[in-house]
Amino acid sequence: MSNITRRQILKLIAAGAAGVTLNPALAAAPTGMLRKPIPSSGERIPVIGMGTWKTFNVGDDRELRLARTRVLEEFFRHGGGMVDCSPMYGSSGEVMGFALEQLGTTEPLFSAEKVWTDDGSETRAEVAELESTWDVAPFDLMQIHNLVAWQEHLETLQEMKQQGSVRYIGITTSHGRRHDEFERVMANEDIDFVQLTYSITSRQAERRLLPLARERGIAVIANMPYDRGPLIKGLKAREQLPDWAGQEFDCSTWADFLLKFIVSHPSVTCAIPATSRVDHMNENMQAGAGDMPGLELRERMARHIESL
Amino acid sequence: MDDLSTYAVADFIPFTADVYFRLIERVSAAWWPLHLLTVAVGLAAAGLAWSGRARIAGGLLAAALAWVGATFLVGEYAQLNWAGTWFGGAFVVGAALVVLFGFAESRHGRPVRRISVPGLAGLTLAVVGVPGYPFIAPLAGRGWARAEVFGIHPDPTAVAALGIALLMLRGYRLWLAAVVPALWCLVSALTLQALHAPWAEMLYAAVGVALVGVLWRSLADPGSGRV
Repeated sequence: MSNITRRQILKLIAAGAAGVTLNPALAAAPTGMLRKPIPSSGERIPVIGMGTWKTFNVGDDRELRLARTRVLEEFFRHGGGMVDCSPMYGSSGEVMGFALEQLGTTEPLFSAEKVWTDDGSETRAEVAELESTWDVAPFDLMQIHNLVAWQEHLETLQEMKQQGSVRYIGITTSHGRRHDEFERVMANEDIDFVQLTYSITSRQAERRLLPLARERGIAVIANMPYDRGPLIKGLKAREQLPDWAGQEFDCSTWADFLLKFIVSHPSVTCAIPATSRVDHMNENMQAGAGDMPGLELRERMARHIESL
Repeated sequence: MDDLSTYAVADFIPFTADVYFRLIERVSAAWWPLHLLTVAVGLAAAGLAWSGRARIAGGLLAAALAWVGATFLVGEYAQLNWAGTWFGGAFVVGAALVVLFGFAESRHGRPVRRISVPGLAGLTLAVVGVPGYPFIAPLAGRGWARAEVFGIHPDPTAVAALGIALLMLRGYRLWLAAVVPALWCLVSALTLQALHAPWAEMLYAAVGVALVGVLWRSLADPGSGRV
């Protein structure tokens, strides 16, 4: 307890308040953004987070840094929480640090970073460097990027979690890579989060990983919700949203359609679309509010996309 | 190997087109009017290589390679791509090789007397890389501010380096000197392709022309004085 900060206490209070709702699985925050619980703690986080791959990697370009600050500001305004980054993403971490400094607050940020080094003895040093880059400590979530040197990093991260140096720990993969090894780690190790690729056109995780996450009480972050971007760009350019989508659930844009499909899966805790545009951020965040599709409707949505 | 099939080229490019082309523009603005000097250096290097003065030509080309490696690749590009430091280091190694080989070649350097295929390839690449490259951005509708210039940006510097190396070197020295600029041209071509820049194919073509020139010289004309 001695390591709990004011920020953590505020988050726990917020999580507790959000928990006093009629629906224990899906609770609305004041902004309308839905929240789901992290199974290992019960803390609730918004179902729409934000990725930073490519979009926040702008180097020292001040004009673009300020533009990304506006994107983050919009994300927070809509009640967003999780921002996910990695040392592999170039200057994205530095740009996050810049944006947070400009905004003058880290609320309501749920900071998610990754350890990405082959050297298993460098875990603490890399986390310390990332804390300095973001000017955030401790990170809410520290993940092992693409299972790189995962045994060594995981051992250290588990120690750090016990010491209060990170709040949650997890592992990541993308594009369906190394799912067998990923599954073994999920089945045998004590972790809070997994991050994997899951979208309406990339449903490989439904077979084993998502059921296992539910069984083991592991939160799931869905990355690449738009399949690297072309999915939503193609739909917006060429296709009309089906009429039944708006009638059956709160769906007025393709972002609603694609993101609600993901976060309505019972095992998925949040999705992390990335964008460099405020208007796209608005669209993404709208998808975190309102009615979500049920099981039958999700299948209808998937069949519709397959038919296009 | 299964993993490799799941990757697209875009998965290795950690920035968007807008950010990359703004970087080109910002670096250009930061160094203006140094461009006038670097283009003059490039033209001088090509001319000296043509006239058989490999030592000075190699020195001028090396200065441009090292400068671009340090200022653009390590100083700026590495902010966007962790591999930028490695690419910058490779440019500096390439510069050292050009200096070294220029000195070695100058002991029996000979001016061009008859145009050969390697000489023509070298001249073409030098012309494209030095006076030609700045026109690509405006011709592609991207304006003069995003023009890429020899000695300021890596693509024209690498293309010209291939050409100047073909004009001044032969044998194993030519092969070794061509490695760094050719690899950069391929890396940059893949990057530009992923960013949907229409001139990406030109960099593949530059490597193809250089390869023809180097092979021609190695197989058909290994020891003559012709360039």
